[in-house]
Amino acid sequence: MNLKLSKEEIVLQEVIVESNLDGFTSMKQTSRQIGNLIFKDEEKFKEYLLCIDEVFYNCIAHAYEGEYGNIDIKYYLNEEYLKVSIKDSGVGIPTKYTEETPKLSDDLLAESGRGLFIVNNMCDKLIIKSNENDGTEVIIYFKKGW
Amino acid sequence: MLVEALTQGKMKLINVFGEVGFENHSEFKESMLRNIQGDESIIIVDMKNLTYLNSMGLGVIVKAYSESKKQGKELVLSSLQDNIKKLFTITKLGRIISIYKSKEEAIELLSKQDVNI
Repeated sequence: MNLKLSKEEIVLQEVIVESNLDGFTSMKQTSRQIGNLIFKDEEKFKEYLLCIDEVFYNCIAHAYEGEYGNIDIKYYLNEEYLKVSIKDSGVGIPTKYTEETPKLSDDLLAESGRGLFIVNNMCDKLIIKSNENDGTEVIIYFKKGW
Repeated sequence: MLVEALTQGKMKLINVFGEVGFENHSEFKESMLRNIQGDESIIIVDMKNLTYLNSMGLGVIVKAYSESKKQGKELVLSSLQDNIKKLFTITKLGRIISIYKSKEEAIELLSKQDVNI
């Protein structure tokens, strides 16, 4: 992999996998390989893996309503950030997630619903785009230099 | 991921090893919910050897805590690694579930609470 940087953003890798356990395993392997090249700090590396894990799981759980579909993951590098785009072609995401910052449920002891809130707190920037009838794209930014 | 449990008087110590994520959270849930059953009134979940936990694993801890409470038991955590401690801080769960620095500290302090142990 060539990590020589230009001022432009470069695509380090793109993987397209199915929204299932095999796809998850493959995505995680690629994420580990790329993260190992970028992050020196073990904690930051774990946070990066966790963020991708959470977003990918959301695709599996919600995007295709119990069916399988493809998930397209692209890893970009620019002067400031490692940027990971995770895109599905499923049903889209409720507008509360695209228009507002992810929040914790009022019920702190709810069993689920913390994923995007955690991602938003661990990454450096989070963008969630929902395209009607064309799925959801989540872009997670991690500052380099950790 | 591996879950080991041992009973010491009225305390149960649950040691969690490895990583808990999408691939094994169901197994983790089943194991935790099975291990909180029994006559022990205090459950210490030691996470010294837990290196990774995602929101699903966090949900399992919450479920085990709530179930324990329903049964009149106290579930506490000990020895959290920094990345996992951060999860409990940002989700505010650390304000609800007691977290001890080590299992030894948890055993010592909780033993004082219950003279019957």
